Amino acid sequence: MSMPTAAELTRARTARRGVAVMLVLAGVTACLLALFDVAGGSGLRLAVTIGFLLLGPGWAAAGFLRRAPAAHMWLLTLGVGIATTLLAAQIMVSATWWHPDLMLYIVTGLSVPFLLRHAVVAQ
Amino acid sequence: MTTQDTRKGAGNGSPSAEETQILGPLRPPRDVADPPTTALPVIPAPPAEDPPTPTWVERNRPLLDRWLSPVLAVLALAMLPLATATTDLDALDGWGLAKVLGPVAWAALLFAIGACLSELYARRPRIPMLGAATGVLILCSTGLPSVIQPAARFGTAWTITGFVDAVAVANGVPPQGLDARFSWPAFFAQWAWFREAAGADQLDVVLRWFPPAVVTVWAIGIYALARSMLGGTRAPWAAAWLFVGLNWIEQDYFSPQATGICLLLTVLTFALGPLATRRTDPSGAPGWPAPHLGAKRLPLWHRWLVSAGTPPNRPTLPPRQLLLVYFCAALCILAVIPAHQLTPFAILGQLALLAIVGRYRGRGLVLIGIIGVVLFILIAARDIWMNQITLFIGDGNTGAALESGVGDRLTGDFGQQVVKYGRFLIAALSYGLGFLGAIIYWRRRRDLVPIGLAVVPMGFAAQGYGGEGFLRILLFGLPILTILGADLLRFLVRWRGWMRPVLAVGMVALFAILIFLRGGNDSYQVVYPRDAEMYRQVVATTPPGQNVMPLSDPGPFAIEGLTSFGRGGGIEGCGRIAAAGTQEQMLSCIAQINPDVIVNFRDIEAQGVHLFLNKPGWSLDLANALTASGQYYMWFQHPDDPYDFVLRKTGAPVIDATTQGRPG
Repeated sequence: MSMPTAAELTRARTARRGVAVMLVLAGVTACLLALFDVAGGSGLRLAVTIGFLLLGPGWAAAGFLRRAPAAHMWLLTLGVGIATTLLAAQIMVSATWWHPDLMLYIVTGLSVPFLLRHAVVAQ
Repeated sequence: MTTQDTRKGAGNGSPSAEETQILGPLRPPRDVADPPTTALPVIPAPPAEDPPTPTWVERNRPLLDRWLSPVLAVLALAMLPLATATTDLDALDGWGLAKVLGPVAWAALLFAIGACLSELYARRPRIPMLGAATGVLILCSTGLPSVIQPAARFGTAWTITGFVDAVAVANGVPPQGLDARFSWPAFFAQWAWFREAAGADQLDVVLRWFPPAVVTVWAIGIYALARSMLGGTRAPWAAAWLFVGLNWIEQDYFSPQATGICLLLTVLTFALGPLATRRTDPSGAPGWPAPHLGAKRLPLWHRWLVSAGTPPNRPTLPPRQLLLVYFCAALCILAVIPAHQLTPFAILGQLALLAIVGRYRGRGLVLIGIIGVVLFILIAARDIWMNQITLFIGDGNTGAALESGVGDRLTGDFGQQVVKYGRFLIAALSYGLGFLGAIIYWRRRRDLVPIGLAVVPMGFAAQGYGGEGFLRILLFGLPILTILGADLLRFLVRWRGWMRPVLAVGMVALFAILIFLRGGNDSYQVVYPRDAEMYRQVVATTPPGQNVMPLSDPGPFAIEGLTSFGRGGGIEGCGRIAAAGTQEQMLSCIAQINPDVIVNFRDIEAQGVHLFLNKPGWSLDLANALTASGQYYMWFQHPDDPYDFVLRKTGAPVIDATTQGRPG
């Protein structure tokens, strides 16, 4: 089994940083679009919101994974993203507290600090 | 060549070496200029042959390795718009999508397979390129209907978007008593949340692209799982492709179970990857050492008891990484519990098996899952617990479940029957490959646990979930079966090198069959945007409380207004008007149900013709009979498609669409 070269590791770290930065931007954009109710119903807002909610929380957790292949990283990202949003939605239903916008802000607020950390310190 | 004779006395007048040698009487006299030597004679080299001329492929191998795969992938993508333009969806019949696909669509599939195989054949396969080629392959096979059809296919996906709509318009309160699936509302609530947070009214685009997207996630999971189970750089990709090729099951539509499989694969990948371990003694030998040399082995039950009581070794991950993985796996298990009724049992069954045989560290995950399921059933879904316990434990009538799952599906015209028998054959092929692969895996690693993981979901055969249960058995077992199958294919390639081209041809055949089988029902599964638009118009103009009924279940029915309208029903033999039999029986059913609005789509007409063997035009004949009776009138008929129509009961009120907002 060959060890990854220093160049490969650097490229991987740069990619991880790039993903984290993109997700921070997506999260902030989704929140701003929701806050100002911009372009409601357009495909872009739907794509940004769904993309962030499915990937943002997951990358916030998976970014802590060290020496993992990319497939494990992305699988954990998607798994945790799906799981977090399922549980958040179930909590809103069970608590009869239906505030989609507020939950978006909460999830973004919890994810963005970790994403910023991964943007600075890539494993 | 001459060498100096270094023997004692040589060349100094003493008796020569030849004279003192026993075996040298016949030698020629000594040549002073070239004395004898003990060195081995030089064998002249054979006349130098010209090195074989490298073939064109060998000469250009670096170039091909670098560019062939990307070029083929781009070509495949470039073919897709042409495939859309050259496919005539109006010609769909019982043979489904494969019959109406133009040559360009098949060429796209061939290019996609070529992109995958050429990269796999390269000297150093590039992981990003293999990933991209796999994405293109999924788009050109599983995703082909999403590309060439104008809207999401599969009526059940539209039904589920109706569930999402019902949760969204009721501000997160799932309707009660409408459908048992609302007892596991997390998936519907999740997408209702996404929809509301994005300010969207509907999820039609999501529905359309959901199958290729979710199969891509599954393929990532299979690849990651195969990396852990098989190792190597090529076999995991073959496993992912085999999974995509054998996945005719079509449980990847917009549904909770599709999401559940993502979570199942995440948990399984980490259980068999970073958390994987074994029960061994410190020297690495499995099991406990013998008490003394030559001691008799302990009885089997004793070994099992000892084994069960011995904690597996610690994985090599640092403790914080272990905690992270435990946390994420527990999150996935807990999240799937309120989302789908069967997936938690599949995950827990597989994890329990792995825990018993000591293949991963973290038996607490099973405990967390069991506690979560029990709490959810007792608290959140107690109605289901009280009324539908047979959903979990079965009703003891496995024969009826088998009939529902197998026998009832073998209906329709000749094309439909070929499609359905083909599905059973591919299911049998999946299990055959898996079991043969298990033998190879056993020979290589002395391990039968993987085949056990594939067999665990067979427990669902006992529950009375109907025909879907058999699809789930296949679906939950397919990841492991395909990984074992990939191990078999790798063995074949290593055993006989000429198997490579054979397997390449096999891959082409498998994906062609996949398109044939998956698209087999497309004559009555294809949905047009006009269908959805027509139904939304019905919702906007029908007063709440009226009964709105389709003539059968395909098409985008109940995508809105699920809680606002009744559907009639409950009449024996009248579940689907299209399957009621003769026109008189259909009219009798309609008279008993007495709906206020009757909706029909082209899908329903096609389903009646190809699946229930009604004569072509049966739905229009029925509409004409109803309007002739004066009970109903034709409220809407699409100018381009006469089978898209809406009948309203004479005298039933209709709301002006311009003043009607969204229901709910």
